[in-house]
Amino acid sequence: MDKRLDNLRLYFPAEVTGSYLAIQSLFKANGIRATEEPWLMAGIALALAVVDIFIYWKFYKITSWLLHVVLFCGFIIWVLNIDTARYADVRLPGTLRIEIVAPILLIFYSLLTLFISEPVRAKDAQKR
Amino acid sequence: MRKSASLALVALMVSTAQGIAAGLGDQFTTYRDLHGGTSYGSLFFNATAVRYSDSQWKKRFQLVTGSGDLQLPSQQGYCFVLNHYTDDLSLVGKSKKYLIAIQKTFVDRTKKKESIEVAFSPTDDVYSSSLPCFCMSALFGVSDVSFTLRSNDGGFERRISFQLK
Repeated sequence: MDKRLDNLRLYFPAEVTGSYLAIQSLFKANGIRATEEPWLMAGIALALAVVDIFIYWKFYKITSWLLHVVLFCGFIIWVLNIDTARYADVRLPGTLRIEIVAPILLIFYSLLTLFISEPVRAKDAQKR
Repeated sequence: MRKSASLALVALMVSTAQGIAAGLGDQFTTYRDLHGGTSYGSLFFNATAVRYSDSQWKKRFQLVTGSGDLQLPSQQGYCFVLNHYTDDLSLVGKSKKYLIAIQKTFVDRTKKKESIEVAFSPTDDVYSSSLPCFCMSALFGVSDVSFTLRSNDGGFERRISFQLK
């Protein structure tokens, strides 16, 4: 179980999750409430996801586009789960609600990443 | 003398009854919950929004219940929005208007009347962010504000008043 949790954690890129949390705190400190400015935060999340791709390409030497897509989706799923209230007005089909959809995506993402080996930073890989 | 005292008492009772009729009810922080949780035409005070541009991104909606005197916090301006969500497809997409007649009473007891028309279309999209909205600003020297809200199809009419602190 610990290994699974490790696997789950490692597939959320810390370089960009920290930045998102910092910007979220900045919003709060400036009087912007948890459900406000969803499009601005979505834009920031997309920009960070692009930075994430670049980090994994440059420092982790990941060249597989499939893996980049998985990591990109992982970050977006993490954003939806950490900031669910902000995206409550995102239009979903039928009676689906973000409060249900986001955790389900997280569960499937966690299951998917069990089948993919964790990315390792290039200089760390050389040490091994 | 006794008759005039009785009339004064009746007038006081009527004004008191009107005065407690309006209030602030449930709070909503998303368009989805506002539209889904209240009926078409419900009126909301958007707390801390002082101008139209504020009301476009702030989601601090408090349901206004009833008609009459309303207790509102001290602000530089006041914005109100209305629920325009309906599942009546015969209404969806139609052009409609709210007519708002505002009366400002200044501290020197002079009065000024304004009117606003807010065009909107009823929607079947529970996530819609284009709620009918109207704001009242330029309230310097104003002690009381009252407004009458009517829909142009004669659907309803509400009168709300509040005092500026």
